[in-house]
Amino acid sequence: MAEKRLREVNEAYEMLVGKNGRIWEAQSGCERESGLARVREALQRGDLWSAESLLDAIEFRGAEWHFLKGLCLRMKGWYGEARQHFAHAVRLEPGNREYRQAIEDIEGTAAAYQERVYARGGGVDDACRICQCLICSDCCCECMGGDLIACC
Amino acid sequence: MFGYIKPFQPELKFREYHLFRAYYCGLCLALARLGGHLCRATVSYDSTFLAIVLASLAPDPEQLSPYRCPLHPLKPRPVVITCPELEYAAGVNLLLAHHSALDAWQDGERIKGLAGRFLISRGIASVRRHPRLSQIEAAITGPLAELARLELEQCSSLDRAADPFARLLAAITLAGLPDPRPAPSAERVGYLLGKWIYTIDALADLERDAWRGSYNPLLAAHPQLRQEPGRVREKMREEMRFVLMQTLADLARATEDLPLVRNRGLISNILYEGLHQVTQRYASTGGHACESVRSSGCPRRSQRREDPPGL
Repeated sequence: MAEKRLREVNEAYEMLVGKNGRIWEAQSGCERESGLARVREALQRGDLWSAESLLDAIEFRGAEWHFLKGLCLRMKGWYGEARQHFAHAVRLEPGNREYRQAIEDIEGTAAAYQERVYARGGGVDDACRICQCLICSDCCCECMGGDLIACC
Repeated sequence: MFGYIKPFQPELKFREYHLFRAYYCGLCLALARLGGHLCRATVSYDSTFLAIVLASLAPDPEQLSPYRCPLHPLKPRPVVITCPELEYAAGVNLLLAHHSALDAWQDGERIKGLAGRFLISRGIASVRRHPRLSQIEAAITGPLAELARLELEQCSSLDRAADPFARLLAAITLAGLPDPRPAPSAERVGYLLGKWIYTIDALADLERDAWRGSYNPLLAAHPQLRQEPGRVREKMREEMRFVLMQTLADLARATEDLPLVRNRGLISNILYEGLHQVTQRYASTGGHACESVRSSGCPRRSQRREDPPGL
C-alpha cells in the first residue's frame, strides 16, 4: 500500500517536473503534502492555471485534494462542481473546520447577494402582495359593513 | 442574443430608464448603420447592457440627442449617438445573431436559419470589413467550436457546458474595453455574465429541447428522464438556483470592482434587481411560466420574445 502510494506520488512529481520544466525539492517523506502546499501557494498567488495543473497531476485524491480542487473551481466560476468537491472533502474528513467553512462560505455568498437585493427593495413582490391582500380584504369587509383595518 | 439582461423597471429612476432606452435605441441605429434597416430586427437587451458597461468605463460621457424614429414617429426620443462602444456592441450583436441563425439552420429550423442569415448578411459583411469588429469573429470562433463539441459529446456537467460561452463573453468584454482604462475584473464580469446567460437559457429551454430532442445540459444529466422535462426541472431546481444565485453574487461583486465612471445606478439595478427577477422566475418553486405547452406539444416561445422597452 505504502509502496503504491509512493509510486503514485513519484509519478505525480515527475509529471510536474516535466510540465513546468523546473525541479522543486520535495520534503522528505511528504511529497504529497508538499504538492498540495504548492497548490495552496499557487492559489494564494491567484495563479489558477498552475494550481489546476498541479492538482491534476496528483493521483492520490484525498480530502484536501477535493477541498483544493473545489477552491480552484470556485475561483473559475464552476460553482456546482466546486460545491460537490467541498461536500466530498467534508464526507472524507467530517471533523475538518476548513472544509466545512468552505461549504458555508459558498452557500453564504448567494445568501448575502439575496439579502442585498431585498435590502435594496428589489424582492418586493411578497411585500406588495401582502399589502394588496390587506387593502382588498379591508375594502371587502367595508362593503359588507365591517372593517378589517380600523384606521383606513 | 437572448434578452434576459434587462432592468427591473419599478425600481428604476426616470433618468435611468430614459438612459437605458436611449442606449437600446442607439444600438438599434448602430445596427442600421452597420448593415441596413433589416439588421435592426436583431437588437437585444444583452448587447445593450454590454454597451452600457463598456461606455461607462470610457472617460468621455455619452452624447444624447433627440431622434424621431419611424417606428415611434410621434415624439422624438433621446438616443445615444456616436459612441464607439455602441458600434462594438452592435458588431457583437450581429455576429452572435449570425451564429444563432447558423445553429438554427443546423438544428433543422430552416426558415429561422435562412431568415436570420438573409436579414443580416449585409451586416456581417460590413463587420468583417471593419478593422476593429473583424477581430471579434476570430476571438469567438474557438469557444463556439468548443461549444459545438461539448454538445456533440452530450456533456452532462452544466459548469463544463457553460464554460465556452462564458469564455466567449469574457473575450468579447475584454476586447471591447475603451482604451486607456485598465479594468482587471472586466474579464471576470464577462465570464460570469456568459455563465449566467447560458445557465438561465438551458433552464428556460428545457421543455423545448426535450420536445425537439436538442442538446440541453440538464437533460444530458438525466438521460433517463428525457421525456419528462418537468421532473428534470424539479430535480435540478435547487442546484440551478444555487449556481445562478452564486453566479449573480460574484458577478455583482466583480462589477463593483470595475472602475465605472458613470451609470452605476442603472448597472446596479440590472444586476441586483433585473437579473434577480429573471432568476426567480425561472428557478423558484412554482414560478415558472414556460411550462405551458400548446396542444401541438410545442412549448411556447413567447417567454423569449423581446418586448421593446417602451411603456
